Amino acid sequence: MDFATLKAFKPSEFEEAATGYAKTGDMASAAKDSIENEVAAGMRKSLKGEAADAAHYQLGELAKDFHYVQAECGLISTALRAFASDMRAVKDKLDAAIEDAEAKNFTVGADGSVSYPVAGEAKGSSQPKAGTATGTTDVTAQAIYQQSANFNPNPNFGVAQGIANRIAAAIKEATEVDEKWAPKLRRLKADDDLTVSDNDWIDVTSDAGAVRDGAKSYLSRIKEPPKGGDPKANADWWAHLSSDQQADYTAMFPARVGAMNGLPATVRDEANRIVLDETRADYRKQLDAIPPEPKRFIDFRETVRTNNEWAVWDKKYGAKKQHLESTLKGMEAIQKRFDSTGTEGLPEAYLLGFNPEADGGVVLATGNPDTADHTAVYVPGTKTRLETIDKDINRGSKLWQASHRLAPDAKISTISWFDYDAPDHIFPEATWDEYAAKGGPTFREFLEGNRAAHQAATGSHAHTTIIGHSYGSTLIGDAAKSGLHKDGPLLADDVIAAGSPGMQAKRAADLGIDPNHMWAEKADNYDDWVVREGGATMGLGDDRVVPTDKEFGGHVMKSDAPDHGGYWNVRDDGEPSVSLKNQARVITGQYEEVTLE
Amino acid sequence: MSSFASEWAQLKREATADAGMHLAGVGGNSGGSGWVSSDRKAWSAAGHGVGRLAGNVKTALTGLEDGQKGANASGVQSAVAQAEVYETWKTYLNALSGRCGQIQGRLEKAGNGQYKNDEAIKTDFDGMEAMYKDTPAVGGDQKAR
Repeated sequence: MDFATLKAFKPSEFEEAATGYAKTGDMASAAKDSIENEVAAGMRKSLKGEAADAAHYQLGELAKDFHYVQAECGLISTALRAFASDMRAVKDKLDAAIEDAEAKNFTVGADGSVSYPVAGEAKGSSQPKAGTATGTTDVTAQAIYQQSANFNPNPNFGVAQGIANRIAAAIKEATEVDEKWAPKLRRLKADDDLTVSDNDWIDVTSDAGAVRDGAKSYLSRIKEPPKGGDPKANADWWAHLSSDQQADYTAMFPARVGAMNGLPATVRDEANRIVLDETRADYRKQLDAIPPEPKRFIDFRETVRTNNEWAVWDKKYGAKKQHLESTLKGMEAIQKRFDSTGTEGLPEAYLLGFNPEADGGVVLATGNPDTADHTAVYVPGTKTRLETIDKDINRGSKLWQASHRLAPDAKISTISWFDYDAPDHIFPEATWDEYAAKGGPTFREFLEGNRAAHQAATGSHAHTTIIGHSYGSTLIGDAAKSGLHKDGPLLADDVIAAGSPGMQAKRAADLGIDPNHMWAEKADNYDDWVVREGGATMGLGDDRVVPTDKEFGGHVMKSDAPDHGGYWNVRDDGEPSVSLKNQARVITGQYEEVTLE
Repeated sequence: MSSFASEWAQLKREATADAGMHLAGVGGNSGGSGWVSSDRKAWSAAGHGVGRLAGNVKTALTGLEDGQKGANASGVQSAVAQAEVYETWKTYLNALSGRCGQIQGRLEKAGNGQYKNDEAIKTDFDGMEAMYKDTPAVGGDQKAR
């Protein structure tokens, strides 16, 4: 870059270009949503069979294209804004130097040199002369010029040299900014085919990293989210960002935005869908790279022993393969829910949480939780993990459908919340409180975020019911207790405990829960009894009291659950089971309709 | 969005009124020449929806082009790079608009009852597979250089 180019450079032109990409990304995001929630959903209401399936497949491929456009255009607009911002900072320095020159009646030449008029008095035999200072960024040369300025009878020389050096420095910095950004921009070229492959999403991920690296100084100008993660503070922080800044933050830190309690559901959903597609591509690629598993056992002379090759393979890849496969299964379940919108009246899905690390986490809402009249949050229990999250997502759907049947004109959102490390076995892990104790505060914060987002969207909050299944109810107990000492009662109007082994308290009131709004269900079945009795014995309830005990103070609802997992069954004719219907009655506030034991 | 929703609601109302024509079983869309008018309306509505998206792509393309004015400063490497990037997205979005049109056409054809049967619809949609193959060697990382 040279002086003339930098002088003529207009950062705003690149910001305008950025806006074009931002609008394209927004269009693509809306298009992807429209395919899922309107076009495909509309078709699912009445079209079935192979013809419809073939059409759905093509629509799905189209939606993938739009999602890819959304992601890349988001990166391009952030990159261009960051480039413009970096250049503006340099241009300001150049403009200031030129201004200083003009203030002294110096002339800045076409090459950035600074011409100065004669001034000052002779020093000895040396007469002051007019001249032209050529800027340098070289420190040694600068020192030499500085020295000669001391001997120059014309004071303008030193001043002009200083200005010329500033101009040279600005040109150098501008060149560096330009050279930094040009290759990063080139990475953001569109794919040359309309098939969005795993490699394409892997490219998006690494492109984002490259932009993030280059945009450090630009991003530092965006106010950081509040420390400590208070959901209400997060909501306020987000609302005060400009829409460009919101877009930048989402493009650069999608996992952070997706996990941030208090932010709008639509924002978290978009961010988490980017993380989902990026993770899926990454995990599939990693899985492909794992060499095939050798035979595990070897028969040798009538004995069976472990194949050493397998042992070596297992040590290196066993756990990794298991993690990749189970997370991919979880992601399939999430995608399956997206592809079910419109079936049997199911409204749009919002991915409020997605964490592929460790045991994984998914928080998925059916119906917008920020604008709902009634919200239900279902917390699953022991053995919940990403690999089998399908059943927990289905329960959320069934809760929605059962509630919608009872209140067809109400806006309802049901959320499946799995964001804690659930115990892997009933014995012994599920008899320990530690998993619930760790997960309790996380759940609290989620509920606070849900409330803050709803407040920001509507100025009010929804009638909220939380439903804990098995160990999930223990977690709710811990969540309630973690709040008692700090911020007040649990942010729920109604609490349902299904097959509960105890809620860490002897009475609902001890948890800050109004006993009139505490509801419990049990199953007349050995497994369910084992859970309840086991929990009671092992102290998950306080003093051996569990929510289905009269002592606890809540209402025990009629339940036809055939087993510990059967609280959300639907009959073949579509009619919800008694257990499910009673939950739906509480969810929709139809308390008088609840049938009690 | 809201015009689509209200059109869809209208189609549903008409479909309910046509309820007497429903074949036994769900959807009734199981081959043969027994075209149920509510099914045809569902195909048409879907076609209409995709058509809207094609229009939105074109609008975005115009917006992208408008934003390009002036961002072609000569002597600025990033401007040269951006211009190259823009060309690729112009191509991509045009192709995407074309893909929308391909799907829209088939959906509308189904909506107009112009296919012989379900099998024909399936074949026509599946036939799109050959149109948009992945080209990993040229796309992917290579595009960065």
